Amino acid sequence: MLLKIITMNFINNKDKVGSSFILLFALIYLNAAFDISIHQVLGNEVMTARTLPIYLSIITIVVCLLQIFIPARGEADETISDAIAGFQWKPCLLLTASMLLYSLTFKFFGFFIGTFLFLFIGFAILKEKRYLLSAAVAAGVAGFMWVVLTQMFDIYLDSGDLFRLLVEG
Amino acid sequence: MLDGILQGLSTAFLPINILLLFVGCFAGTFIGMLPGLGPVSAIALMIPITYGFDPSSGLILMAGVYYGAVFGGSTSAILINAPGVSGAVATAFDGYPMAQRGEAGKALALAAYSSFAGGTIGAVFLLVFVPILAKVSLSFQSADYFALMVFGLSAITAFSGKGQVLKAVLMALLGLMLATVGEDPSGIQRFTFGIADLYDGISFLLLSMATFAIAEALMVILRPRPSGLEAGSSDVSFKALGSMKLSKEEIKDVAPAVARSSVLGFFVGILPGAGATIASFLAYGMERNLASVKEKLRFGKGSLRGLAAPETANNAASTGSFVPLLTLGIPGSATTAIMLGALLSYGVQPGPRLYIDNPAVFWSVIISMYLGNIILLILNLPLIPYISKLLDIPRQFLTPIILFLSLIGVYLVSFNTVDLGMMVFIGVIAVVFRVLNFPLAPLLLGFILGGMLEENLRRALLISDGSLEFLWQRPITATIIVITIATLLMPILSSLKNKKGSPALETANGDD
Repeated sequence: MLLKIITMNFINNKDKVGSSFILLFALIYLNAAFDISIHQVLGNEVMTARTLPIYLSIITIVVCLLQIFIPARGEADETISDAIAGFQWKPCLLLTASMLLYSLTFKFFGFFIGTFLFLFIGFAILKEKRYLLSAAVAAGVAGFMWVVLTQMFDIYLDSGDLFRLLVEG
Repeated sequence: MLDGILQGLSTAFLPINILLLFVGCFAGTFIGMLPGLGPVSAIALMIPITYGFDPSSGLILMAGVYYGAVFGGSTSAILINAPGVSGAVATAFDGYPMAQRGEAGKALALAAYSSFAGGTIGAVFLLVFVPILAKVSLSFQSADYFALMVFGLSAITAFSGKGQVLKAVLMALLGLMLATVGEDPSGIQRFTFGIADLYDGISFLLLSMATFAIAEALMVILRPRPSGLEAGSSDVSFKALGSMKLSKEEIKDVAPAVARSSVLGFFVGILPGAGATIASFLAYGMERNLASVKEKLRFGKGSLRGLAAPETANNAASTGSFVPLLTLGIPGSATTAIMLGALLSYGVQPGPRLYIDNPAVFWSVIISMYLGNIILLILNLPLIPYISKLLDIPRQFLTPIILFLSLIGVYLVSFNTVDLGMMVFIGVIAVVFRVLNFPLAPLLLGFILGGMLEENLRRALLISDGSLEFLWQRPITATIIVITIATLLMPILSSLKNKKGSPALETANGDD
């Protein structure tokens, strides 16, 4: 029962969960730090490529353990369930996915089409029902940025594989 | 010095730079007004645009954006009780009650005048202190710089809220660890795992955009506020702004508060990690303590002094935060950390040599910071009723556009779509840390200082033949180390002494 309460408090405590994430990262980082090659000539110098990473990870591990094992203060203010109450996960996850999709399909769709689609989908995810207006705003922003970047700042923006396929065959 | 000032004046007054300052102030005001987006995001969004600029012009634009964002945050705090930036939280205490009783115009005007006064006094102090400090810091050696960087990082933790010290330390350490990714000073690859995209390390712009712009935009979706982005400025209409004029008695009443808060704000701003938020709360607290019993009762209900004090202090602190950046090359806040990153990308190394090697850049930034204050007053004050209408842009249009601008900003620097994926990944992690209430400003500072810290530590160790004696051999180093230890111990000792703690410091998270 006691173990259950401790475990629940731990899982629900923002500080302890956050510190655990960093602890995990520090352990992986420390392991990788030992794999850093040492310079053939400068290998014996006072500070090698490994020195700082190793010390940093050790300090981080110590601080993480301190944070994890120090008794939680203001437990009620620090619970994760309170912090995430009322969160709108769906639009956030969908927008994150659309950003990833934008980055993955950028070369295929090119700047204009990719940006238009990203914005249009983004507006729709955030429950904009006026699709014609959404399309106009998305095209306007994409077009405006294309003009500014390519015509004013002379930056090359790839038109994309799809555009080349359609126009150039 | 006079030659430098003249060079700076001629650079700052170039028509293109004046135009950039106007654009910066306007864009900054707009971005700063949007709840969730502060000066850090505003400046981060500007970095890709300024890559093609010369350093002076780029920094002038950013200075304008900085001041504009600070002022914009106050505008939304007064009009809709939604401070766009943490430094404007104290402004809402008395600004919003004033708006509610039909004095929004007066509150906005007072905020603008107070900001101007704070900025002016801050700029005068900057003019006096920066050259002196720059000269002193010319005698600094690598050991001193190493100590200073450790001090900068420790100060961030000291100014964190109650119960946040260890979390701030952890985030700074995380930033330092991320800074080691890529090629080390001797040319050895670290933590790249054979991925070519990591050979040059993690891009500073990518990290700052992901942790601030992307994370903030995602947080706005995740945790929609009842006001601000979603609700717009409907509760205070243009008609309800009222008169913008202040009477002579009112000016006489707030003048001492403005003077005191300017001095306090500037010196708090100089301290690494303190920033505008703490300065504004301290000034508010100071004025409330100094007020008569009758005046004290008006605090929180629309007191003019209660509004003027934090507004003055946050602007003076914004100016003060440039002192460590320009003289020592050490950023004292997330905003100045981003500016440091931008300076480095222009090939300009801030620090004492900047004052000698690039006087035009050095002085033009200081002068344009003051010009920014003037522009804010003459441009924003008459435009406030119209600018506030921008709050009506629906959230469903604004958020994807902000996300797009952040993504394309990073893409335009590297032209690498892998960076976009990495940015989204880091942005999601940043959201997790924000939900867990881990401050992100120390992460960015750790990342920025990481490279310099390692370089100076390596040099100091080589000079001292591997001995740690360099930490106490020179009086400057020893003094900084002692101050660092005292700074680290301060929150622990104060929490032992007074378990109640200041609510002002609890609110601040050092993300100015």
